[in-house]
Amino acid sequence: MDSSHHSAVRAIARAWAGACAIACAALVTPSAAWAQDADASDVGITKDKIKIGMTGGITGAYPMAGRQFTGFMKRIFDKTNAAGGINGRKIDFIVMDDGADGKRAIDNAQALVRDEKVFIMSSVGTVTTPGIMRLLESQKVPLLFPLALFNDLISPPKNGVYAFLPLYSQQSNAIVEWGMRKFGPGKVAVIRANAPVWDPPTESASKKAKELGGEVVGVINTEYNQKEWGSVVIRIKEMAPDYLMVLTTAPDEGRLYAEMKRQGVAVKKAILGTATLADQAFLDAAGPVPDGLVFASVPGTLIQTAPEAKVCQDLWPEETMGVYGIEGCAAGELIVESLRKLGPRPTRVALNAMLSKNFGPFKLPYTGVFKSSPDHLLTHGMGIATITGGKFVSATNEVFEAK
Amino acid sequence: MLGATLVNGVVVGLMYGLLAMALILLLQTTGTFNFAQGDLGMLVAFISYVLITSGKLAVGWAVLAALPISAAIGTLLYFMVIRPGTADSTELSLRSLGMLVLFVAVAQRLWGTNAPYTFPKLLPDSGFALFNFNVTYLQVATLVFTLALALVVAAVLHKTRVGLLIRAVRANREAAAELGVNVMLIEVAAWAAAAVVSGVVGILFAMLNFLAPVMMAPFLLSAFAAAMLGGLYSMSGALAGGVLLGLVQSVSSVYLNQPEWTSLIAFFILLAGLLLRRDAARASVST
Repeated sequence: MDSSHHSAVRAIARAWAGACAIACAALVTPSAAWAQDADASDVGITKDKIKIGMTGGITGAYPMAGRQFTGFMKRIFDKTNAAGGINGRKIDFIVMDDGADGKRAIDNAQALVRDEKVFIMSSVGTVTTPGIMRLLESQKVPLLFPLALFNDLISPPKNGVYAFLPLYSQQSNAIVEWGMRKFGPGKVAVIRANAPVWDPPTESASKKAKELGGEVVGVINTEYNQKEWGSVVIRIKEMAPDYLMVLTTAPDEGRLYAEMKRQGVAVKKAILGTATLADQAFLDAAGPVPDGLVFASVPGTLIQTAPEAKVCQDLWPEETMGVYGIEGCAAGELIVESLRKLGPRPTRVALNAMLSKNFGPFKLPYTGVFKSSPDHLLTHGMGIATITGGKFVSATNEVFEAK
Repeated sequence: MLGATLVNGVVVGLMYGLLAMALILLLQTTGTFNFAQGDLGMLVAFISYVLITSGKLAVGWAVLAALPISAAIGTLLYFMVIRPGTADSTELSLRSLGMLVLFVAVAQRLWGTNAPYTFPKLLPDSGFALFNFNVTYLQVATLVFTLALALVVAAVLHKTRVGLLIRAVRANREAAAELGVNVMLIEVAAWAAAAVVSGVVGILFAMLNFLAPVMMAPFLLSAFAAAMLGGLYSMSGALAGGVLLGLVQSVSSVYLNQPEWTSLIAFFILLAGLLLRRDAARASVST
């Protein structure tokens, strides 16, 4: 009886001890969790890390843009991390390849938001970003400085979506205005990839040409990675334009020019284009181009071969930096600066508030000025690039405002 | 403008015809429709490009080196993908689809992120005018190669003992083996020869356009359509089919200004070819 009584008491004591241990653990655990949460001011932020997600076409039909934009951005983050990070936190940059495919881009964005729990996201792809943008808006994940230049990105401005480069339509408007002011009004033939993204730039160029006394004599639709350019050049020859306005990828624009040379077809005044025309891939495909023939509007006055851009090129010396590379560099610096300004407890709400109202003026040696704007476009300035001596240089010191 | 459009159509059509002929070559020799034929050429073009840009070989030598490299790849594929297990021609064609995916994936992995590349040209970009359209010497060389290929294959298949053996193997492997034909040797030779043709086609396409893992994709549908138009087993028919397709596409591109129509037209021609030549298609599957 005694022994059984003692064992019962011991059992009760053990049970109480166990219950106390559980209760104590329960009391301690939330405070430990709270202590950890104290550093985790928002999703994707831990004591020592800030998670940034990226999806872009690093493979696919035209992978150069994705490779250079994400590659140079990564090197900016590596440099920042090596210097101690942002307010003591290192950037954890997670890049996923979507092959420039819209569905894969959305899958990637979902994985980055749901599984990786990133704080903010960026992207590459004017065609793929609209889908991502809608997903991120619904999840309230900020989309910062994507390499995407479609009108809906900022028109109308969206909570959590911020652009850092004037759109293709604005670039198109600026380059036609610059061209016609320099060389006079004339007939314009527009060569454009047959994708919706090029509708607004085509309309914008037509409208501006008309406004300045010129006219668009024809719009020729092409495919991305067009199989043959002979048929396009036959039509250009027939139109005999003063200006050629090219709105497609840099390699396609280069191959068009190479075919024009083969067919002995020239424009009377100039070949005009948006930032895609100012990429090294154009020159690689086009071969030698005479000085003063090609002019491209460059957003943010970013010219990759400018002496000031060397700081960016030096981050990845084995890669010849193109226009997308310098844009990746600038976007990376802008993200770092935005996060730095948020202070030690960054939140998405604070980031939105700052970018929509209080960011900037911020300027890098190789960029124009970036600052908050009601339209969520952080820079409206554009420069003009031309080819001289086989490389891109600035054609003017003038800065054109995006309209 | 019409003259130039037609010349352009013939030039483009010859490229379709050339790729179609490469497809038919293997069909004629082994009875297999090889979907990876074009992308094998892309892979060989990349290997040549690496040899050139790494400074190891001049352009001409790299093109020559591509021939044994292609033959080696063709032989390797035969032993690794085609030979193992028993499979009829339909299954072999499905295996070739797998190869297509593999080749593109390998090229994407190794060289994809910097594509497209400009392939150094073997001949200068100059040429001569024909109906107000400049035809380059490289395009003429492509035409010469295409015609020579058609003639050589026809001669080998119909005028030589090897051709007789190839046709015997294609018609009935078992019967040919019973009669003492070294079936494996014949098939290896056919795959190696087809791979060499693919390699040359890949390099020519890279020189005429650009070099990228996806470079053959836009041409493949048109080449299939050309092959179907030509009756699947006829080299000259494929060439004529390719030219016809090129002409229709060039005219539609110049006069209709709808680039997607070129693929749509190829698709409809392919469909029409399949409907009109059901017997030939069935024969190719059952052979």
